[in-house]
Amino acid sequence: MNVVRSKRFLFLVLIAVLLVAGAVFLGYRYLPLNRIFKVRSVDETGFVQDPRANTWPSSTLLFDFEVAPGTPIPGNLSDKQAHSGKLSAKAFGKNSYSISFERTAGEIGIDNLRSVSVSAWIYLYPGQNEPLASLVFAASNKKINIVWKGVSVNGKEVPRGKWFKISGFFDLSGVGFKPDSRLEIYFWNNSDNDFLVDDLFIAFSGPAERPGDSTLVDLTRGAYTPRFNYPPFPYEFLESREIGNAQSGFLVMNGTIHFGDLNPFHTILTGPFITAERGMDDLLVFDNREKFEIYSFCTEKNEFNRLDPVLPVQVKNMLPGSRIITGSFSTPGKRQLLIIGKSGLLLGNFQTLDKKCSDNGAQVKFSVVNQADKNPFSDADTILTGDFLGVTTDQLLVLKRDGSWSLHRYLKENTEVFSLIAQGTGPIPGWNSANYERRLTSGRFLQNQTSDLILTVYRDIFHGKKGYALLRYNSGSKSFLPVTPGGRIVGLDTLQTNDEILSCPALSIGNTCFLWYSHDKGFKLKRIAFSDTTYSILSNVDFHGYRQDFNPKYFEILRIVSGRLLEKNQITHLVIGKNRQPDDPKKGPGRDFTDRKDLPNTIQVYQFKDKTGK
Amino acid sequence: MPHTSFSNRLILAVTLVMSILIVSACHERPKQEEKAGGRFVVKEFDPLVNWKVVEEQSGNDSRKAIVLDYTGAISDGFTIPTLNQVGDGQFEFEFYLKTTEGQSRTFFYKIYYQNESYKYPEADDQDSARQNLYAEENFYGSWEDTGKGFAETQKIEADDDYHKITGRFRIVGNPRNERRYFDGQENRRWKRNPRVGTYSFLLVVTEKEMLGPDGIPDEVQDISKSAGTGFINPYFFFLYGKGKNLSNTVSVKASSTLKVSAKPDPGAGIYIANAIFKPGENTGHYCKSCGASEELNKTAAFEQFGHYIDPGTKFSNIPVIMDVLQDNYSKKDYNWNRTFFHKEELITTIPAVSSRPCQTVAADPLQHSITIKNPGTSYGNWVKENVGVITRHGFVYGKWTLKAKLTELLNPNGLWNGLTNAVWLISQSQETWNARRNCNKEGYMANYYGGQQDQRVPSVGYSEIDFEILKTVPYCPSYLLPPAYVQRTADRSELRNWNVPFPEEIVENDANIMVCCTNWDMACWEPANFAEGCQTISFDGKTFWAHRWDKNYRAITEKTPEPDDELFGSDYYYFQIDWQPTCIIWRIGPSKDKLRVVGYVDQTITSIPNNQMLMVITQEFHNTKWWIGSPYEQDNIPFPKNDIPGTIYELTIE
Repeated sequence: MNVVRSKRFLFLVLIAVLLVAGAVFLGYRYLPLNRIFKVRSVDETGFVQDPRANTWPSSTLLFDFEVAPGTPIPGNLSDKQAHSGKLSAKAFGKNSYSISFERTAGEIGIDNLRSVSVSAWIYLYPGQNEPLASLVFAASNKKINIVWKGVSVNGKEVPRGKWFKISGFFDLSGVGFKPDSRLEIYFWNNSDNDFLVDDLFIAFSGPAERPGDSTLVDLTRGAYTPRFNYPPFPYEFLESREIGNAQSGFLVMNGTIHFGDLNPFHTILTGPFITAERGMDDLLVFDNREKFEIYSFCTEKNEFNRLDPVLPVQVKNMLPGSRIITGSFSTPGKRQLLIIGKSGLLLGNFQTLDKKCSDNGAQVKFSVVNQADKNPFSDADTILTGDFLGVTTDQLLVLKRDGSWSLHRYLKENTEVFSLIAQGTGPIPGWNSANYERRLTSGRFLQNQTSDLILTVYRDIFHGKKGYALLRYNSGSKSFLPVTPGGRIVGLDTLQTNDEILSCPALSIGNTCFLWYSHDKGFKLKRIAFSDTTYSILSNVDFHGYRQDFNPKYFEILRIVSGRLLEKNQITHLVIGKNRQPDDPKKGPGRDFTDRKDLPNTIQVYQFKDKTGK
Repeated sequence: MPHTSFSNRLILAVTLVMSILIVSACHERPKQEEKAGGRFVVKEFDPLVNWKVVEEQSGNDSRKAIVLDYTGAISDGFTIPTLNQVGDGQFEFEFYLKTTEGQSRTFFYKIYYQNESYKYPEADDQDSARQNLYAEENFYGSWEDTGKGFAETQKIEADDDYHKITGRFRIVGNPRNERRYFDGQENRRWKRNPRVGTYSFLLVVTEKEMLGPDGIPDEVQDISKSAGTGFINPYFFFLYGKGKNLSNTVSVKASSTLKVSAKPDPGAGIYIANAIFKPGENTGHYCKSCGASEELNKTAAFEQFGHYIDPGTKFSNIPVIMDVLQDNYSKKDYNWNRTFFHKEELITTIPAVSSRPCQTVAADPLQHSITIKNPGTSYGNWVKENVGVITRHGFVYGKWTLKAKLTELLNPNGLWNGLTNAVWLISQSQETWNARRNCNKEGYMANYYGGQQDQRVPSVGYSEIDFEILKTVPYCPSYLLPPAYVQRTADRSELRNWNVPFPEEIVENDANIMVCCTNWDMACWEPANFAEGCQTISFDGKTFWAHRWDKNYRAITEKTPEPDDELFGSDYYYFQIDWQPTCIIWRIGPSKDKLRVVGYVDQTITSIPNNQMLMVITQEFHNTKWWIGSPYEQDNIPFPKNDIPGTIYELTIE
């Protein structure tokens, strides 16, 4: 009897287990559990970052639902089919939802929520029921829906048994997002079908507009009439010159031998440091570590030669933390180094080489011309060299933070190396760095000048007003006086304090012009010329002759160095293009470079097409 | 020797006689069955006695062929044949007649012709005793003088012998002499040109008493007359209607047919007529083969096409001048230009039309070709100028096949040069003489350029059937549109901010352009399956997605991606619009015998035009706002640096 009871009991238990299992199965299969039990939005730390995400702007999200190897696969993922990787998200049965991704509007940035583009890869299992589903973008403020948009997937034409892509665009202008508005993206299956979802992509967008106000040229109203200093400007092209480095990231590349890994953050100076050939410049490259190199172009070999500077111990000791300035201070035509250390000055130059095309690594000695054991410029904010007196050697303009200045000239007998010629405390526009951001550049900015002028570009820190001034040293009054009225230029082509003014070949004999290279978020390289009254923009400058589509202007960091590097008296432009490693959120913006296949690091030399630069 | 010579001559003579007999036998017209009509018998009706060009012979049936003579057609319309083709410019017909009753008498006869290739069936498909609603639109005719009625034979003797009846006729435009195609008293037969395709010929012989009210109605005797319900198609009347069983009346459909085709010669010159070119003023580029001379007016089969440019289609273009096809323009270049120019640097413009007629089009009489070119541009003269030619002689229906080498559109990087190669048909005129058949459900949208609020009208003159080939995306199925493009940010310090990848479906199709096939039905809701959005339609084992934005949208479009290199990288390619009364089929291919279908619509989803149209071949810059979702926007494509040529080699309409 007990045996019978026991068997009966076991039988009942078995039936109960089977019933429960059946109920669970049926419930799982047919009940809209996902609706009843709200699917948890995914904990994204469980997913592996898709490497493709690095190629997209930060305003995009890409989920391919992959988890780290060895991690248990969550129940709402499938490992049976995937468009990429091994896993995809399930939306099985009527009223089922895929994993939902959530963000707050604040996280995305409300400015980035003018519109959203979405796409996903979908797999619909074979079956008879007509599909009805949507890829949904929804948002709510405190659980009150403020927007619901979907890409509808329905109709008998929807493919089955294969992956297909869906995509859509939703205009969100007019939706009242708040920083804590909750955004959700998910796939909603509203039919008796089974869907898989993979490679969900979301691109939030800000205003689609280009920067600027409005076009200035409207050809629908008549023919084009050029207006002074108004865009669009004509284009000129800098042509790539062959320097035997295969446009690589090394200045010298000869088979497997390569060196000259210059980067935009190096200090790179040009001038006749070692070359005996008049009218040719060398490159002096150094950083605040070990690097101290000289390169000189060898015309016979059509490549740069690296030279090994031999520095006296006293110079080596002085270099760390010192400021290095070049100029022809004691001898016209000879480019010298002025090393301004914490506790002294040292002026010297490299020996001149008649045969600079000898083997790479040839030594060049540095000789000290003069030195002082005291630094008279320790409180200098800016030191600018130039022949302000018109005497064929260079002087030093020393500018302090408060705008006071002093002008110094090399004097052999002077124990301080330089002697004071003039000084001033008067208000020169833009020179007081307590009130202004400023950048000073010296050069022969105007035609027929016998001395260098100073171009000051400044921005009022407090009011944001920008301006520039062109100044000449007046020996009589011992002061710098404005050459032009200068003034404020507003609009697109305003000189900025972080812009560079680079040497540039003259358009015609006697004419002077410069390359204006802007470092703002866009790219601006223009040829400009100064006159007694203003500066004029002559052209936009672009590059030509680069490999594939590796235009130097596309690099995240582009350095342009001008000098007479390849031909006598012909200005060429060394360009160094590098891309940065992506920012590390923990370490901040990096200074390391990455060599990308789609834009490999490069060093090239460019030159305007003919001698007049046309 | 003389004997030998005689026998040789004899052999030669016999051989010649035998040869002639054999050749005669070979060329002898196949005997046609006799047809009795009560008191007479008719046989051997040959409508084309004096036209010998046989294209096809099959048993008793022969199909002769003729190519339209363009001489004088611009003012008089086409006539088939012309003086250049047969002696007196008319077809000679003949038939044999004998009376079967012992009384000599005259009989009455009439020749009808009808275009069989592009016609509606004569009888209603539900009730064959009723004329098909659209059969009156068929191109049929008879004597040029419609008032002539039935011609009378000579007296046929009751001698039990056949008597030959001969006569002349020709096929002309406006064969019903409808006032609709008149200007004042002038019958402008070119407004209803003979259709291309195959013609049949119907001989009707009857007796005098049948020409009264109880026999053949006036509207059949004189086809210019219409009954209360419209014209009576004589083919319907005699082959399906009351005329089928009329006593003492015989209808004989000739076993010969005539295939008519048109081959407008591109080398015959380009006429300048469009007022947009100010033909009388801008004569600087005129030459013998291009200009506004009276000689070219008579001979040229093409005109320079003057695009109508909607001033509302302004766009602001980047100030870059470049040869996209040659200068290795890349996606990175595109992304950069799309991102970094300030608005102040852009050029506001609209596509232009040449202000110097004949500067960008040229006819080559030796090669029998026309070259068109979008001109290169320079700083200060930025322009995206459309170019093209249009035929001058309109047709209704036809298989329009163009052989052309139009410009490539994509460079090896998949970048688009901004051009749309278009091969299209457009209504010859929007005047009432060329109005489409009435739309019986809601009417048509009144204007091509009208908006959603445009009024609806029963009839319009506008019609257009397009091949537009450009870089764009499919609109169907709807869950594909638009691709998920990512906005760029004007910040060059991070490459990924501006050099944003294109969606994979765009990249995968880098080498393809989209062949867009469109019928402008002016949003007539009459078709049974008229719909908005996407719908499928099948033809020849292929399924096509047809798309219409909304129920007031005036056109329906199908798109097929095709390799740019194949269509425009080869020496030439064929583009065919097969416009039939109830459907339109678009085909392309490397040769005329290797065409493939790339688009199909029929009257169940769209209203098929029935008015006279011309073919336009253009290379034009479209505002991509018309082409939603396109990967490259016209604004961000450089102005062309060099001329962009295209060549038209051949156009046949058959």
